[in-house]
Amino acid sequence: MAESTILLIVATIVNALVLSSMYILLALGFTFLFNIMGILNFAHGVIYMIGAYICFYMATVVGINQWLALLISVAVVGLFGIFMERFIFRPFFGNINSIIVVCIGLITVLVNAVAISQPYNVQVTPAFVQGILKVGIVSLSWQRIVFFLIGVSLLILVLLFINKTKQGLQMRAVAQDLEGAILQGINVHFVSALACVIACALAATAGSLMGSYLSLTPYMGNDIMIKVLEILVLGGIGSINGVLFAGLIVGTLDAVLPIWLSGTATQAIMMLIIIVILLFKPQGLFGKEVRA
Amino acid sequence: MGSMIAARDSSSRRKNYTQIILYGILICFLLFIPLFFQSPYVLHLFILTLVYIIAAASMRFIMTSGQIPLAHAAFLGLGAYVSAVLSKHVGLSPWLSLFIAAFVAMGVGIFISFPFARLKAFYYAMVSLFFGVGLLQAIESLGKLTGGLAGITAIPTLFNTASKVPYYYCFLALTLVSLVILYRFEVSRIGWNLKAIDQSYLVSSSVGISEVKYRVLAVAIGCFFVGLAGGMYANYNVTLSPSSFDSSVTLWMIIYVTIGGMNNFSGPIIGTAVLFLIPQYFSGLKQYAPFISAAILFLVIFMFRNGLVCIPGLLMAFYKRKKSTSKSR
Amino acid sequence: MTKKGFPFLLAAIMLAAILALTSLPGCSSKTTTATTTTTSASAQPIKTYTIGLCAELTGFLGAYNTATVNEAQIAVDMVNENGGIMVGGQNYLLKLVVEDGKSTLDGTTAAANKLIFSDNVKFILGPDAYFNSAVSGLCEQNKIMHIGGYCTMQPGELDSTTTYSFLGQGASINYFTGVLAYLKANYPNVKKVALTMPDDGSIPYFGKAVQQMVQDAGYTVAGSIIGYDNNAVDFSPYAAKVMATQADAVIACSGVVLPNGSILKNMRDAGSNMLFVVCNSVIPSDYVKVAGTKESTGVVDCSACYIGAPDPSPILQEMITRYIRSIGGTGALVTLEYANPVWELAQLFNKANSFDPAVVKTTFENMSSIETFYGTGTISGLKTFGIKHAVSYQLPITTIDNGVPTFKQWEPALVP
Repeated sequence: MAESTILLIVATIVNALVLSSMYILLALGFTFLFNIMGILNFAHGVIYMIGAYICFYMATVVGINQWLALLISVAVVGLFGIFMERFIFRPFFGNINSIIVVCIGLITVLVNAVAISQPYNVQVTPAFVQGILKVGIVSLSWQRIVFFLIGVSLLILVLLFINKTKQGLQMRAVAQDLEGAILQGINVHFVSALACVIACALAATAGSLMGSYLSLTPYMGNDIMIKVLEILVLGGIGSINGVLFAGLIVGTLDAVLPIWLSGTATQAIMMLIIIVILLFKPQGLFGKEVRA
Repeated sequence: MGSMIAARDSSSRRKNYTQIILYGILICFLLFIPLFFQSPYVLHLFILTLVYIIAAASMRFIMTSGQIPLAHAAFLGLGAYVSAVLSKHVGLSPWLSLFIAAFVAMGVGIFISFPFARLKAFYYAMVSLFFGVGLLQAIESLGKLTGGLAGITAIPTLFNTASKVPYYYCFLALTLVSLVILYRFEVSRIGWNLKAIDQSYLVSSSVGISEVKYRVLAVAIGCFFVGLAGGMYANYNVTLSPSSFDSSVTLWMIIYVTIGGMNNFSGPIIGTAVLFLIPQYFSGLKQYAPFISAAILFLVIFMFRNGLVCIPGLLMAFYKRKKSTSKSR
Repeated sequence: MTKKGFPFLLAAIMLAAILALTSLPGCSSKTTTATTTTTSASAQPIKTYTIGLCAELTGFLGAYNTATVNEAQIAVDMVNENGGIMVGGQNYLLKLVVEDGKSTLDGTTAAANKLIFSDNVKFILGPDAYFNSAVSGLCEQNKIMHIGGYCTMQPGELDSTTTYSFLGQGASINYFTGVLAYLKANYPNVKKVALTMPDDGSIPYFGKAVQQMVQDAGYTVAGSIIGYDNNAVDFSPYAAKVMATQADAVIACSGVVLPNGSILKNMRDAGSNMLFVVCNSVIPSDYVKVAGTKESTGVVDCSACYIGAPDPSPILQEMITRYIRSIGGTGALVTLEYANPVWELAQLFNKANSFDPAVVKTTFENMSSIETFYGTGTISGLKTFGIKHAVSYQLPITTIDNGVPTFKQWEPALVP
């Protein structure tokens, strides 16, 4: 009995770490766009889904290398980001209700278009990395380790981008004071289009990778949206590094709670924990002062 | 000053008469619907529309206070499940359980809105979203009582008949009463205070409007009516499942409000009627039917930024402009 | 513009809605008369008879049910090309009208309402998954005969109170019976089993029945049933939980391919080689796709998905040929969840010689066996459902090792 308990504990610790890195990967694009530009992209999940499908098609139907397919998917979905900025976020800037309407319209069209066009077949992108790593009693697939590394390195890249590059600083200026940024001669439309491109590219990366880890369904983007919002709010609005810690908390909770609870009750308890954290720290773990 | 009031009085009275006549025509129309449509299925659609009209109107009421209640569909579900469980497992009369459901939803709404009242705009929306998801999952995890993900069936109905006509009239009456009450609240001092809080909570609290009190009040009133709608839904529809109340339903309710027009009391009513009934007309398209809803969304949001209620205003402005240009010519 | 003219607009929109609805395709009486329209001008006029199918064309079951509806349409075509059905000396061709239940219980209720009140059908087939409870009650109330495609044994789906409802195939319990019998006969080393199942409300019912059956077969159940959340992003915690039971085998009692395949994958990645037993309407090779080639090993599967068993019955062969033609090439056959009820109903019409649901129902009850695509089906279910209304038939057992599914045998799985 003791041996099985140790195994369970070790497995849970590993799961918590890997799940957290997966959630960070999923949430990165969304939190980037919201924290830097103040744009709430409700269609993030569906963009993630489209990214996954493009990668799948490139890798299986066209038959090119998965990593190349990933790059193509990132490029195509990134271009879609320009379209989204021009037709969704720019005309309805600051009007959350209208953005919800347009995003739901977009989600309905894309999800149903994919659902109709796909045959009933389980579709999985070929694995990006094969094999299993064994260390003592822990054994772990390389794929999950690679996801972990990609998630962390993308997070670092994003942090470097917004802190060290000219465009990153411009984005923060636009988010802080739109009029001031315009007066400084910053091309606001260019900067926000760039932010959308980056956010969509990050979503496509996450989708392509998850398409090989799980399977593809037209609805795969719907379930992750709640997780992504949890991470956003827990991490605190306006802070990208908060994503790291919020991802860790959400991932750990998701790995630990199912051990004791069955199925759907885990989500209820999880929400309770998150709500309690937010009631005591309404601006999130790393958030700045709440703006009125 | 006095003459101004008198002048406004007479003009508003004249407007009142036209309004009353138009309302009369509308209500007569609604009363005669079961005579126009013999098909129970069409009546079924109208009945569901009435339920969603209450839900959307109560949501808009909370939104006037600047809070975006993303748990609203979960409250609809709470009302529905409370009424269903009370009438099925406890054996209460559905009429009683319907109103208990409304009060339970109101109670839970008050209970959560005290701590939530310290959260502002976006945080409130997100925390209420999480609360809604959690509430629904909690309902789902109650096992035999609520039937889990699969849902609950064989709920006792309000009327002991297979005909849908009594439901239609009963729900029409409940909807009209609910709408009148919500309207009275909105044009009362409470409604103005809520709008003041929405515009600036600092200014409103400086003139003595208690922010917490009024925000809780808005949620209480909104949740009461959405709980009532949930109870009506449960005891009419016989079956319930959690997926009918998940967060996407809340987003659709926001869409009903926005497409109809957020700034007008009739917005959610029109939005619900249009977005619920028109896609049904195309339900023969099967998998392609959702595209119709999406097309309506895009059409309305890009053409009429303020929702469908602004169409008469736009038409009138267009008419006036035309008249003035023709006059100048 | 706040209040000006809004009652007018309200009235106008209501009026528009009403006018639009008067021409609603469903509420016109055309479909009712469809039963008597002649379809050919030959010497003996052939009439058509409309039957309803309640399916989940959109939502999470959308892709899967689009395929099963396609199968049902093929079954209808096969019936019609064999000369249709003969009732009261009159030749009829079957016509299938499909309504979408949107993968929710409420949506399915609405679809069933539409079939009954708007399409005016007297016979309803489907729906899938746990949605039967939405249809059974309505059919009982309106004396409409209903043949379901699946059953999770929840209240109101099929029991002694739903006398107008049947089960066209034994579904979950049928698969489970098959796999348990195979396990008992071929894996004597297995003593302790763990059970997993989606936490969709069926654990107190289907789960309880399954647990009882496992104990009756002489196994110990390790811990309680492991219920997982179907919408979880990752299933590794559940895999850890399964491994911690240290059972000899784990039986995934129902559930779709993604959770089951993911649990399998995570277990194998974490170094467990516990026997993985699955039984549900999933094509065995789909587990390989989700779990990966190396990870798909030590799997026993019992599902109604045909993967190349020798000597299929002629009608099954015909069905496979047409199905592959209809989807244009590759793709495996799915479960015939709606096609079998169509095939059974056509036989019932011929045998009962009537379109009266009460007569057809009595005919069905008095039969002991009926032809299905999977050979002769037995009508049973008194012990399981409390009513002898379920059809069960032999099922193919497949094992998967190193990513290669192999057909083992036909298992006669009889629902008690």
